[in-house]
Amino acid sequence: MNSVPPTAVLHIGSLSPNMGSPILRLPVEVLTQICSYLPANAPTPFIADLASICRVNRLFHQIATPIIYRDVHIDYVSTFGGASKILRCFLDSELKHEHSGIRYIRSLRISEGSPRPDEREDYDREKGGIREDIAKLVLKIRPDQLSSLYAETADFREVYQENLGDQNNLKNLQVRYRPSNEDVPLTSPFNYWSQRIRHYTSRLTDAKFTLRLSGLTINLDLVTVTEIDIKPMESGSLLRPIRVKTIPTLTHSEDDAEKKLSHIVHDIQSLLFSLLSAVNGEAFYIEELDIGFPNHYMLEPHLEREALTPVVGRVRKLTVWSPSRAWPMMRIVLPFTTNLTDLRLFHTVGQHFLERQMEEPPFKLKILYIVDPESTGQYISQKALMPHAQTLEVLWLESSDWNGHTIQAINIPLSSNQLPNNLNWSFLISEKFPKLREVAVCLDVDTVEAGLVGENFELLRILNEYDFQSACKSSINGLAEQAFNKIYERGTSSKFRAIAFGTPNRDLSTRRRPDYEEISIFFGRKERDMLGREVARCTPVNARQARYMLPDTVIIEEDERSLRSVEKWPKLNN
Amino acid sequence: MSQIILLSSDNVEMKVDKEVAERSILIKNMLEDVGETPDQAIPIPNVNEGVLRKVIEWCEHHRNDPPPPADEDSDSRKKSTDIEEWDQKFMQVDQEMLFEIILAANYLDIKPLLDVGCKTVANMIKGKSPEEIRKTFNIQNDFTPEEEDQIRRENEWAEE
Repeated sequence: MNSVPPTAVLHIGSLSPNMGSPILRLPVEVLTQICSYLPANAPTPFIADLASICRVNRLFHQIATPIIYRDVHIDYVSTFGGASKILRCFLDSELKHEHSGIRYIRSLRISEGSPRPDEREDYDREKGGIREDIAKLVLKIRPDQLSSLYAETADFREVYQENLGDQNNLKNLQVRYRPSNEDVPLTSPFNYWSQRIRHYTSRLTDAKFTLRLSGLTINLDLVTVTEIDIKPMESGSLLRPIRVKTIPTLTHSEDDAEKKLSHIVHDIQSLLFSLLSAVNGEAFYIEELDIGFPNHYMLEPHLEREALTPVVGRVRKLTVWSPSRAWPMMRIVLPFTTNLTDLRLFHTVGQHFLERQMEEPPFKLKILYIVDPESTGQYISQKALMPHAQTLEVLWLESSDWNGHTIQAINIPLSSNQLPNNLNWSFLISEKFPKLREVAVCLDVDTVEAGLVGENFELLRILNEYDFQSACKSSINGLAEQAFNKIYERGTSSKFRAIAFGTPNRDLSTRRRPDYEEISIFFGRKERDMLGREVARCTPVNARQARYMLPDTVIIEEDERSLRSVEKWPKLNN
Repeated sequence: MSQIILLSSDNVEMKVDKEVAERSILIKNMLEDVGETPDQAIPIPNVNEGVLRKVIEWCEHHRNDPPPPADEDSDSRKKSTDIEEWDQKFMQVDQEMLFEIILAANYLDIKPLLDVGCKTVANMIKGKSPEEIRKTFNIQNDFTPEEEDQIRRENEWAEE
């Protein structure tokens, strides 16, 4: 409060030349704010504003340089000439001193392009090798300078690892592998793999560090790892989540199948063990393990079961493609998945698969998700579902073809030759499942129309939409309203919010959605009609809106992101 | 509506609605500390009458604006230099006054006004060469020729 009133400094002679410039009376933080409105990290000519201001005088140079060079993207993908202008400036040999922007780089992204320009035939050899240039810049980065590094590269070790000093402030490392001629040797995949991952994991003791490796072409013998994501610890948790995605490697011949299956199991086991050693001990869990199996292995591998337990026991969510074709493997793995709460099976073929695999499961599922595009039979029996009855929250049973057998409707009389254990609707909506809130099944029109849902249901999804469109008399909306009327009349399912029709899953063979194009989700609400009677009305919403309104919903569309930005959606009274 | 009195650096008293004056976080916090509406004038020693009137005019017009978003560093706020029409007209003043308003907004902690001021200056910089910027703001070039050459080379990539 006791600073000099500004009027006192307005009457200036020519003692200091810059005193005549009113803008220079602004404090540095305000000048910095002004510069921050000039786009950094923008394509030319927009970046030119900041480049201009940094050439105005020393003060502005000091202010603007850190803003310009904070986030540097060296991009060979979108340059046609094969040269990165900014990299050329960083390495300009005419500079008397080191480029003053280099020390301000906090986030460095380098996209080499594929093929890299100097690997193309028309590349001007006199320009020198791009890999060497990148290495020169990396060498100039000071220790602890970077907070984020994205590298799209064919060889991380040679270009980055060997030139970059210790980066203790690094919070985010993303390495995207470019396919290269350097193939991973198949003779000792596990050794190669674990060496490779150790290169990146020295920082993993820092709980907030993120490591994301994608586009990997690390061939374990029969499995290719496509993605590894080691996330920061969540607050309040002492465990670090890891996500692993794999696909089967299908380059091998089909002989000696038994040996190969045991190799797959061995590969996954090796991968998990290398992760275990990479994070230096016990403090992790496997948030998601996504395993793809080739289609033609049915033989039983010989495995040491004890070896699997320390790793498989950490898996919380297991996604398996073609599990029934690899059922011997599943039979070995599942007994050790003691912490599994989320099991998702795609392309399950074979009846009673889970019944065979899960007779006395060591885990209690919250989510069971089965997509079976070819099945014409049942997936699962009452018996197989019972161990999870107290914990199950989400049940998804999908096949492309509904023939009235997948779930027995209540009002279809049971014929004599049916197994007593067949899953039927009255079983699912009974008090045996106290937590079940989201159910996706194929169901007949009459059952839906009668509004028969469980007490804790929030969302019912009908996967056989096609049958509904042809079977229901009026519109789908009308049908949903009728169901809600019954539900409100009965008054026992107070949490029930929506009925959805359709599936977000694409047909696995054709990659198209079967039969239906759009998913329609109808939220119900009570209204009074002109005579003052209470009636149900439905509002159709899209998946984004639905997830916003039912935040606990596990599955609407897998690709949907968090929905905080949704502002406008229909106002509903519950 | 309760009113308070502000006292400019050149000792001119101005009566304003409390709600209007509280667009300034500095004044708002001061009033909260005092507890009740003071009878005496609150001195604003860094801001003269002309500038203070201008700032009050802005606060009057924006008295019902919603509070700015909580995360101050959000990038979206910084990226756009769009200024609403009334504010644009409001900022059509000579440079002397423009920078006085920015200083006052900074001192009084009126973030939205500071933003508008900074955006206005940023818009004056846009599309200009270094020499044009110097001319616009009457800034002297204090680089040595060697420094100037180095900096020109360093930033060559940003020019077409």
